[in-house]
Amino acid sequence: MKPTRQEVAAAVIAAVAKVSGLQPEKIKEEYILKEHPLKLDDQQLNRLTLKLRKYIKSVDSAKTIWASTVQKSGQSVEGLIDYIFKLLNS
Amino acid sequence: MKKLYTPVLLLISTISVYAQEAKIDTLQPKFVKQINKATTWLSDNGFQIRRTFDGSKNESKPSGISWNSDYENKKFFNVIDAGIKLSQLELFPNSVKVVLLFYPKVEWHRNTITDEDKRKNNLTGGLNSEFIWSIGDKWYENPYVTGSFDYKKDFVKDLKTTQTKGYFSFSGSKEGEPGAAVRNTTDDIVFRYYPYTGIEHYRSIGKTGQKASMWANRLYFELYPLSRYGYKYIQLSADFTYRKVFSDDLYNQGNLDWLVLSFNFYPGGSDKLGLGLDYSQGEDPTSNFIKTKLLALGIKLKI
Repeated sequence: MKPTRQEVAAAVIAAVAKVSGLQPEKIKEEYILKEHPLKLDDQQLNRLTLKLRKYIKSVDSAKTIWASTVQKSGQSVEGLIDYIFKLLNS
Repeated sequence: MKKLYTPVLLLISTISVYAQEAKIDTLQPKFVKQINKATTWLSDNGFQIRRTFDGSKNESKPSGISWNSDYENKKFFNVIDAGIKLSQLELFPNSVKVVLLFYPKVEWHRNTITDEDKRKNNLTGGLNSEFIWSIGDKWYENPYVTGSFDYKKDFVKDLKTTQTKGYFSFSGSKEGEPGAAVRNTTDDIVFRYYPYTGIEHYRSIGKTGQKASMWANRLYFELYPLSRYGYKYIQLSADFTYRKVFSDDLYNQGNLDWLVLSFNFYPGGSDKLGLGLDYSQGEDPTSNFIKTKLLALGIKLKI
């Protein structure tokens, strides 16, 4: 069963909220991971990678996300949602 | 009187740059934008440029060339602190519990102070690693280790060394936990801290093969007291390391302390350009533990 974009967005926002310490309702898709208000550091980005990987593998165990994708310059919440949505629907 | 001129001139120049920037509706001068464009391209292609890759939170500081005035000695000098992460190799890309990364890097740290005992010019090349093991959401369920193996050539001391370092810490998310943000009502980060403990081993290259082994304990914290809606005007940071020497026939200095206190003022609310005052005291680890006491004022350009 392939997830909808809304389901992927909920999973990504929940993961970003856990790692950043912000409430899920405060996470907006346009937020850049390394900038205000998220300002995730390197280790928090690595933890986010693991949370996203766990979600991806719960849907399709053959697929994964690399740390470099999450750490990419200018990477946003929206960028991660689109990437994972495409990955799980390809 | 000359003492007063320097900060005033630096402040005026910093503010005037910002005033011009405001007119063209940007927070960055054109050349900074061009540099940012280049660094973004490098980052997207696996490169990163930072102040250093020493396994600490100094890694989050961008590289920079600064123009400083040494107040104590009434001298002006330039500083270059730059590190380039060349690429990144990730092992276990399918693991949901660990991230293990390796990346080669090169670093150049130099100042133009004329005093032999404060001068710094060294080039480092090596391999860094990051390992995090995440088994839950609590801070103690997210331990991590950052390590490095470097070859360092110190051109001032004419000393070549290999340096092996490993630091252990935890990654948190909730207020008060290591690395976690304390936020204000506009969700700006106002405080965070990072504790580390680790081992460092230094060995000179040559016939003598002198060595030094140390237990390093480090605390870094940063404070942004006037941050609102993503704009930050004041940054205070402190970085203190105590090195307990296990054995040392290389530097022969006993236990080592290193303290860096920084005060940065960002007139435009962005840390791209500002005026900074740095006080450093102790044995400088980026300069083969030369004893240093320096109060320096300079323009901070972050790219």
